[in-house]
Amino acid sequence: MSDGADRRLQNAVTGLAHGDAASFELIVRRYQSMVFSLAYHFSHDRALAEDMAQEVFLHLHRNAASIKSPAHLEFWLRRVTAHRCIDHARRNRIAFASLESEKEPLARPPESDPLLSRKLGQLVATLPARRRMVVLLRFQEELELHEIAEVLEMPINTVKSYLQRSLELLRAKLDRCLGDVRV
Amino acid sequence: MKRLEDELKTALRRVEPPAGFAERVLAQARQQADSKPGFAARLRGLFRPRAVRWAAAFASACVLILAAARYRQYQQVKIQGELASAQARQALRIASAKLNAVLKDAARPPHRNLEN
Repeated sequence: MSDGADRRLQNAVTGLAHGDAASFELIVRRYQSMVFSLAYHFSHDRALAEDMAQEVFLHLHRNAASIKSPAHLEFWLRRVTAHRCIDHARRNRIAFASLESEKEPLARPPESDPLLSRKLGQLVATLPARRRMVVLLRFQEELELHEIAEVLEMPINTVKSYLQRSLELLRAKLDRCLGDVRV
Repeated sequence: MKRLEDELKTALRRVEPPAGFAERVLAQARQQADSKPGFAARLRGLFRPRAVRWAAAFASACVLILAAARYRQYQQVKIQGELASAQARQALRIASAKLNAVLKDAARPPHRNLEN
């Protein structure tokens, strides 16, 4: 981020704490993609993801005074989104498409093709809630393991084992789905 | 594994929310700001977390038990006081009766003098 953008964001965080509507708007526009994507990749449901993302921003609006800095804001948004997604999955036991219901690909996928990406996205959505969020924070947000541990309030060793196990699971599922195609 | 990780980064890249998302959030935030909760609602909000509710229930139970114990203690003291008061009245009545008898005796003229 450029110095100008940094300064604008810093000013927006200050304004947010004082209930400034323009600051809130700037923050919503700046972080809407991050929050929505976490909820969307978690739920694979655009309407549900939009509802959850809206709730996160409205929660931010109510708790604006507690935000101390842009870094804290980003951490806060990730943490609230992650916990809302996990809580929602627990409460509603979101039913995800089983692997058996997925159609087999018609042809061997080329390098980084959209079909493979779509399939991976669907497979990620079949992981248990907390593991799924670890994968999202690692590969969507590209957070380090200790940052994921802070966001999800879990020991770093748990994050490591969740990530390792999830990758093994994804690889196995992908192998099953795509036959002999090695990824 | 590296290839899988790269594919995951591609598959999980950020996506844009539906058009008008920010506007809807801002409209709801304005609505939320316009309908700020009253005193009663804020007071209820204080008691929303489960732990606080349990603590409040426990504190209320403690207060009730203490009040009951204090009332029982007060009742016992009151009964003892009434008993003591009745005993004192009884003692006064007995003392009064004896005093009256003594006074009557003292006021009666001696028989021996009359005979003389």
